[in-house]
Amino acid sequence: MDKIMTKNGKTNRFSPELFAAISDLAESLEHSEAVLDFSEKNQRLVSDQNAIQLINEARELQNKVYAGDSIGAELEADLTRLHELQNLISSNANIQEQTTAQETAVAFLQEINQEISQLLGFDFASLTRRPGAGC
Amino acid sequence: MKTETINELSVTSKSVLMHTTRRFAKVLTETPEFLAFEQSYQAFRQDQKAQTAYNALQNKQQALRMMMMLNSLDEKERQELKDLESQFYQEETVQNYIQAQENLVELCQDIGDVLTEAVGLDFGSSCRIGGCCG
Repeated sequence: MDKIMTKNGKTNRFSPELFAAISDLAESLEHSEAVLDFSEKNQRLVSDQNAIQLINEARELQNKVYAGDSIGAELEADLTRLHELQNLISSNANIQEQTTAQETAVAFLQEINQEISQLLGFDFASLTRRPGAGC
Repeated sequence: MKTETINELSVTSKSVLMHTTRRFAKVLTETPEFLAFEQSYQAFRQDQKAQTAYNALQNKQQALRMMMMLNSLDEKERQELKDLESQFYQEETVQNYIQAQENLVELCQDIGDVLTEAVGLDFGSSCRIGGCCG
């Protein structure tokens, strides 16, 4: 039996065969073109302070507007700024490249999941989801 | 940074990827958790008493669906549903099937955590139809 430390800090004892199969799959996925590209573009985005600031400001402003926390002139100013931010985000190369790379990586993972699911006879990914995880 | 060391040799080819994917799926189907799940499902399907209890519960739920959505079941209907549920869940094959499913889900969740860590994206959420937030 081999141990793998899982994300939630638990260790799971997989059989040696399963451990090897999971390790091989994880390594293959990690070194796939789509995941490598996403990893590179994501790293580039994370290092771009200006881009991160734009995303955070847009997110905060969006939450504020949706929550109805601003009214009248303040709301108008918030919406104008939000529009500006959306334009800046659309023209930021690092954000756009990361978004495209993520979409490609997600489509790739869906293809892999489809292959696994066909062999299992049920949707594998749906069984991997932890309650409350993801979006 | 990963990109600085990327070359053609370090990128997994499509054929290797498909091979490791299929091998993983095959090994998963040989685990005690998967085999127990398959066996308990077959046992549940072949258990006439459990199937009757299942159909009775399904029929009642369908008949009362609208009332349930409106949260306007009367006490008698509520009790009928409760009785049918408890009849269904007390069947041994149903309990075995639920337990086997829970064990398989737990195993798959742990596998999902490993894959998520490797790819840097939540595997389960990414594979939802329509993407992460679809």
